[in-house]
Amino acid sequence: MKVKKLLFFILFLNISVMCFPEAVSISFSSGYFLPKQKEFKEIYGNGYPLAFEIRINLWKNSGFSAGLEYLNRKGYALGNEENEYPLRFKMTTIPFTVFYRYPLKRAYLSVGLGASYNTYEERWERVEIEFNDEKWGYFIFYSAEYRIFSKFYLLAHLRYENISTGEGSFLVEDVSLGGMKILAGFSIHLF
Amino acid sequence: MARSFPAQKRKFLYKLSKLFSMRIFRTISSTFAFTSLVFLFLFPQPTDLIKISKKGFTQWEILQSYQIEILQDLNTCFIARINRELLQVLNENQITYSILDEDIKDKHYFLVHYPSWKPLDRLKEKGNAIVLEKDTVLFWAEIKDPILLIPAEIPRKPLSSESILPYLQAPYSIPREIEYEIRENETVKRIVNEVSSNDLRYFIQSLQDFKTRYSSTPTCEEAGELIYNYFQNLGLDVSYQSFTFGPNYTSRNIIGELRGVTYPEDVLIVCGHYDSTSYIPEILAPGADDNASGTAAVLEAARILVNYPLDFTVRFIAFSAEEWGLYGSRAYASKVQDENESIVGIINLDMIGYADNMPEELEIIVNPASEWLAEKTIQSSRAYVPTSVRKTVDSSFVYSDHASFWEKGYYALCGIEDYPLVNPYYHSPYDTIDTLNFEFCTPSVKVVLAILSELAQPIRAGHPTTPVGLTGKYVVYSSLFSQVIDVYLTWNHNPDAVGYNVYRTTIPHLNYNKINSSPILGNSFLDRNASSEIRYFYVITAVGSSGLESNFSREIEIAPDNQSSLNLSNRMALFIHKWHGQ
Repeated sequence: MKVKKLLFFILFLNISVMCFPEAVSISFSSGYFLPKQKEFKEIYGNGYPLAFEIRINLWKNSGFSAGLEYLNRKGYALGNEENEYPLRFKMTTIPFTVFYRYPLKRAYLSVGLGASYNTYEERWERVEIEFNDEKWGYFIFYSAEYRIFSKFYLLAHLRYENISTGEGSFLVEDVSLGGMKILAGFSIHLF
Repeated sequence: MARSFPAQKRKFLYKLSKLFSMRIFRTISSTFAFTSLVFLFLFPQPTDLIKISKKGFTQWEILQSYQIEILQDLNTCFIARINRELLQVLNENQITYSILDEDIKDKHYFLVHYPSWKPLDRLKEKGNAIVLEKDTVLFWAEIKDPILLIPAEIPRKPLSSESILPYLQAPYSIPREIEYEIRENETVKRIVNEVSSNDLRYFIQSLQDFKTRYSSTPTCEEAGELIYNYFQNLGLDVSYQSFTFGPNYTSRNIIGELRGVTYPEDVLIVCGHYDSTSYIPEILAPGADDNASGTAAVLEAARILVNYPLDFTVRFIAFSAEEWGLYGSRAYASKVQDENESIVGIINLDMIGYADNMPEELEIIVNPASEWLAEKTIQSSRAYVPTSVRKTVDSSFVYSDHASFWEKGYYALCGIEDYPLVNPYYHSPYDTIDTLNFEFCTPSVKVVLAILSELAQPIRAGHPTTPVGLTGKYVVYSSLFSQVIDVYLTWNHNPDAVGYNVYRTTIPHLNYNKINSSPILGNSFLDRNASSEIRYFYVITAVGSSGLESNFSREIEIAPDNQSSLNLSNRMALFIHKWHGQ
């Protein structure tokens, strides 16, 4: 799985270099994940994903980006007794985006849409039950960058994502791992 | 030139015609509806009697969803009463059926045990007869009491008047080869060894001396009084149950009860019919084998067990009018069902005295749902009685009192000397005590005492008292993608106990496996990670300070589809339901 992710990333870098970009920026952010499905929220609560992204401006103000996000949550299975069966949920997301960036005086506003490749794993810590799978999702996003100094920008990112897994349990027939991500961080405009 | 109306007049005529046509429509439709109702009321769709083949039959849900009235469950087919409109449903679902009789209304039907090699002429000259399967014939006639047309010596059973569909049970899958772990019990051994050939002889002779015990004769009632008095002298709680049968006859079942100490509400029944028949039933029907032998076993069991305090209640029952068509046991089975009694199992004994060849095997006949009872009998026999017992699973063996209990969904077995019968004196005036073999009869009664004691559990001195109050429920835990199912058991505190053991099985009353490694100190236990597709049965024992273990508690069943046992939110219960429906 890790090899697959690495290959995706290398492929993206190759494409980036081949495209002779006008501008490249990288960003690091973290924030809040508000799951779309209430069952997810009941078990794991809201999440705090970590995100890394490379944005490449290809032509005028539009371009594409790719990134790597990670979400790790602990929770308890729902049942009669509380806290009987601890659970661990991990999800890695690789988002691919096309965007349009609107430049202002000291800031950029961006809108875009994309697809994400998600690998996820749910593990019961007290019994030997583990579930893992991978699914594609799609999303729309809006972000704003405000320049602090030189090439450093403050970043705010809002994304609504849909990831339908088609899998489920007693609790929910079709688990959706999508939801709203509200991220904040900083970006560096390399050139 | 066309004649033209003024616009106002044309509008008026249009409205009038519309109103008129509406009225006509309404009148026609309401007349049609009324006529249909009258027609349906006066001429309801006729009900037919059909035979549904079991070959390749899997559509249980069709029977359930349309509430098709199954009146009899046989080895190869169901007999059902069905409204003609519903036949279409069977056709649509490719259920193989054949119509046995049309427009059945108030007709009375009988299953008759009739050997396949015999021509049906003897029955057909009296009424209608159709072969349902090997040795099983459906008989009816257009008279009020067709039972009077069936020769007295032919075994028969009236077709149930109510649907048995709610009581049809899926058979438990009993592994072909089970290595039983037999826990020998000294008290049970002692009970078994108390069975006396002399007592059995005495009981059989006493019953034979009535000349005939054909129900409807006064001597049958006198035989009933003899049994009643015997039970009363033993100190049992005795009662009669009167019932009517045939044209307008009355007879009585005799019920003696030995109340259980720990679980008085859970009842085991040991029974046999005391009436007899022959081809001259009102003159001479000694019925030594059929069924003074079975009745003697019941009396002997009562004589012995009355001296032992038991965990569970045992009822000793002598039924009447079995030979007429199981009327006594049907009346009793309906009564226990109406009163919602908890019946653990029924041991019916019918003809256990004749042996054509020694060593003779005791045959145990059960339906698929009662298979555990036969296995338990074999297990008990191996442990306590050096005689061989053979199990036969046969839903079509319905010509003795156990069948009345099968119809109501109870676990029941029939103990019989041979299957098929070989006694040449069967239903004849020559069925007398001198034709019986007590070297076969006595061990057979010992087997009965062994299984009865194993299930009723004599209370043993020095052992902790049997624990009570065992309850269990499924506890379902679910994550997003998986779930685990635990069974949570609780029970009442037992002052004699320093700990408890929990036993689990997937077959009722058999193969208990201890699932705790060391005695449990509290009053609860969580059986983790059970399967959601298996029915589990649990019992517990109390462990005393000396290390001795008590008898088993009442067995409880935890079934996946038992929604009431799920202490979950409605939403989760709904998902469980859906999940099982897949």
